[in-house]
Amino acid sequence: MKPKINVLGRVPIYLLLLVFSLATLLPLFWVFLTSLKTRKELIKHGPLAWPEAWNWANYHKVWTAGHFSIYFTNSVWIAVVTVAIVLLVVLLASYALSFLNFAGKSFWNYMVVLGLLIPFDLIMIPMFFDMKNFGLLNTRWAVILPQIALSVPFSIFLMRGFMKGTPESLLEAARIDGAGEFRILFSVVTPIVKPAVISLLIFTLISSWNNFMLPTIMISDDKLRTVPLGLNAFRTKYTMDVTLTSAGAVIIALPVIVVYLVFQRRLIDGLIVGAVKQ
Amino acid sequence: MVKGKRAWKRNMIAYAMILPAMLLFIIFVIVPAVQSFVTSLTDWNGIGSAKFVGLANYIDIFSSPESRFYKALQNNLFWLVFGSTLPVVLGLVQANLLVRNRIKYSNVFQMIFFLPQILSVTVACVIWTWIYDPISGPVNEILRLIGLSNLQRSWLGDSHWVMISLLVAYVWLAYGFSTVVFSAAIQGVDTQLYEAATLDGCGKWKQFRNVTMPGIRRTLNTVILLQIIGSFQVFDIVYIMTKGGPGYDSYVLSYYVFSEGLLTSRVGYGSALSIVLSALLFLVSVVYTKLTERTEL
Amino acid sequence: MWRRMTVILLALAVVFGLSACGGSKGDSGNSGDSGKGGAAGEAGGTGTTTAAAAGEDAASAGGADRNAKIKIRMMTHYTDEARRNLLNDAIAKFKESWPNAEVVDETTSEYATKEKLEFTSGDGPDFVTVDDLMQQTLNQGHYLKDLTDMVQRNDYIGKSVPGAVEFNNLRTPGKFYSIPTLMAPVVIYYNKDIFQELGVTSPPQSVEELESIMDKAKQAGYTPMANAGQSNMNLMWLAYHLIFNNTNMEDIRQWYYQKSTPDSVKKGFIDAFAKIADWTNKGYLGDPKVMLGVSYDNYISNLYAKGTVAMVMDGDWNIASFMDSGVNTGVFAFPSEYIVNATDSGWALNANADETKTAAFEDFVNIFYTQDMVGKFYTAGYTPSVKFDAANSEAPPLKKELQQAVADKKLGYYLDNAVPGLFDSISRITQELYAGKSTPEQTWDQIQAAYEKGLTK
Repeated sequence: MKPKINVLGRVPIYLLLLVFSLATLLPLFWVFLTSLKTRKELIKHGPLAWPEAWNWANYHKVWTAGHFSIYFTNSVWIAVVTVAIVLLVVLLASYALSFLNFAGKSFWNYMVVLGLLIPFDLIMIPMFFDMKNFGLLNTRWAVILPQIALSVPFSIFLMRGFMKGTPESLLEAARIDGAGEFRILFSVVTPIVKPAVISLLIFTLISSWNNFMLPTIMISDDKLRTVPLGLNAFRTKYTMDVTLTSAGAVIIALPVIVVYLVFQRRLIDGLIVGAVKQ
Repeated sequence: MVKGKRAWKRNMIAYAMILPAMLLFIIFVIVPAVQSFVTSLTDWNGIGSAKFVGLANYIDIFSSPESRFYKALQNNLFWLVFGSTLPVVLGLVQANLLVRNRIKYSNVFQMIFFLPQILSVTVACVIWTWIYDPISGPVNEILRLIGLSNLQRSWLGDSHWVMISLLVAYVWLAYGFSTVVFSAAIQGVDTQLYEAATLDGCGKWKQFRNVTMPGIRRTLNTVILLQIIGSFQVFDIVYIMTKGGPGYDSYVLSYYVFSEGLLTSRVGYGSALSIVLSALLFLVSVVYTKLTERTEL
Repeated sequence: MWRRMTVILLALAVVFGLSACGGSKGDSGNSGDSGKGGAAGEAGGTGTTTAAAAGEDAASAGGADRNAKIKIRMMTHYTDEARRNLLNDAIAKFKESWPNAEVVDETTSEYATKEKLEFTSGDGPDFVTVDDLMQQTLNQGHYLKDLTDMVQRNDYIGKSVPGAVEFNNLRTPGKFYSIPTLMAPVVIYYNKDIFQELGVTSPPQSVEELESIMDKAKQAGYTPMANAGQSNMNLMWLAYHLIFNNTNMEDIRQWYYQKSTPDSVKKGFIDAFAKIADWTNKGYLGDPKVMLGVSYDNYISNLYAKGTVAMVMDGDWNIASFMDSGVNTGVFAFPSEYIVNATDSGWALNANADETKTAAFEDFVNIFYTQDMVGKFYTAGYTPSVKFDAANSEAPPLKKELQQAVADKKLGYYLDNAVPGLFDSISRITQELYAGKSTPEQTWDQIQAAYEKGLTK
């Protein structure tokens, strides 16, 4: 029987959600408004004024000033490869750390937690020299490999937490059926942790997409630059052209939003399927 | 012995699974970290030669009168307390509202809450700096318009308010993460449990306490731990909005590392600071993990 | 068992780590090379002095093959649009005489970090722009080529504003490692309407006159001098000017060039800070609490454009913002012999550059010394350090006013450039002075402590 939906009771909830949404959106809306202004009007009328005109010139300028199409390609390539490899190696490792008993397991768990504590600034400079010695400097792999390595601790940490919620009975059943560990991982566990996989995909994508410091030190060739690098070109020692940077920020955010929208539907679909199966 | 062979096979499979991730991690994170540790025992300044100085840097950090370590630590602890609780609480509330109430357009709301995470931190912080501008910023403007001028403050310039102002911006940026993660987690809780609870006569709040919370306990602990770690590593927001100022009022440990390592070029000292920061984090994480393990059934 | 494994693994990592960084730290092969490179450069230089013509198209390094296929990597400070366009113009002009040269511009906003990293790893760019600090840093590792002969041959000193070419090179007396083309003066922008209302008809000729203007402004209800407190630069620059005004420049140089700290310098700093504290108390510098929350990026639109500010101390790089503010703005220089003004990003050459690249470098720099190029920079709003007849140039009136204001002022240092990291420290420490949290003496003590931390060993 379908429970009655108390419409009146829902209003306060909607109101609350609306308030949260407004608080979230206002600053973002502002970024967008700023991107439509010229520097002159920003100075003259201040940051709060409505833009004089729907001026898309900044977007055009950001796109053509650097070679944004090239930057975009690089960012996409790097992000996709990073995410793909991260998902693969992390699923494998999290499964082993969650369900298998093997020699040295606690050591590796300990390593994962340790990894969470190592900030990028600490390893930035030695990493530059190491990359140089590997001969990988100024290549896309100089960005991809560290990105994967840096996301391993956080991703395993997250994934392990989700995986542990899988009921033992399912695993036992699969093992009795004669399935090997790899099979169990991909056929049984992964569908269950699908929301986590998708969350991880999105987080890794965003982090790779917005990453600035790592590509900056690893890449010198303009043809290999990523989008955040291109954006930062509009900065001088003391000031920043905010209208241009805002336009750039919007451009950078758009693809991620698209990806999020695409996967969000899968997220919900997957859950419905999962629920029916049970 | 049969057991031995099975154990060997099991180990092989397990290692085959963890090796790709771990190998990358060791080569690109652990090795540079160790190199950095070695540097922290020297007085290297990034250009000239490095002279071994043993633990001098570490002693300097803790005992030198010019060391800003304790001030930064103080700020980080403040951040720790509020920066790991507020985003989590808000995320929980939002996730719960969205998932458990069969809201129409819940995915739209979810996306909205997540948007700050997608935006570049640089631009977001510039906008927040405007928001807080004492003369033309909207906060003070709105206060003036509604007649509460006496509540106007120099949000980023007043020693008493700067950390709070930064925290608000941080929470705005961060709660999207916990909202998404908790949404996923709550969606994973068996709906039959909720139906059973409703039949038992449990109201929404009781259901939240007795079904939702235990059901997402692991995720909750994970997210809180991540927020704790994040609060120690916060850098971008401080760097862009106040640079640790006014004076040292919003100075945080990661800014100290940046200032010593990259600005003053005392790379040895900066590495030592970074290692101390990591050690602190490790301590807090271990304590937290032990605590949560103990309360787990 | 896993404990033992941890120890073994960490030990291995340490060994690996040490061996991996052994090759890159300390003196790399560069020091040996730079010695050779420098000698070759000088030999080539002396050989062609007789052939050197006096004009701008000096046949420098006569033996150089201008058709050579070379690749030049460049890293500059020119991150803003205007200068990037000008750089591209210069590169295009360069390619006219060097048709087969490939020029790769690697300019990025993080040039400071990258220049250091790349040079230290042995792979520095060929042409770089350096400021005083960077030049000092790179010279520590002998990464820059000695350009003394090039400077003499082309008479850059004669072609530039007095003191400009020497400015960044005074740490290596008699030797030149960079060649500047631009300056970055700090001046006082003022609201012409307010000045008219106050009855001020000419720029102050002394600090006392400046003070009286501030007093009049305060009485009339305006903010005499604004300060974007979040970075505190306006106030810092004001302090530097006061120091130039009360201390012998030779003594300041002793401190700035890390030789010693004369008592006169200490006194000069403390007196300057005392004056600032005094002015703050009188309300001449605005309400500290409010000002400390104002960001440098926004203050012109959020504060100055409101028309309530009489004066503000800022650099020539913001001239466009002042022109756009909607306020009738004028400019004058601080009433002292020296003003804060430094040569901004001079051109320097990698010590490893061979004869051909050195010749290319000379031709490249000479482009920036042509009146045509200088004129372009001037029109774009920058202040050239190359002598330039501005009479016929297209430039807004405020720009011309600025040029005139700094014309007979001598170049003084951005004192926060004395040692690396000092800017960050001074910014904070003066914020505390401004907020009334520390005395002038304490302010000096803390700054001196930060200075000593950053000294080169």
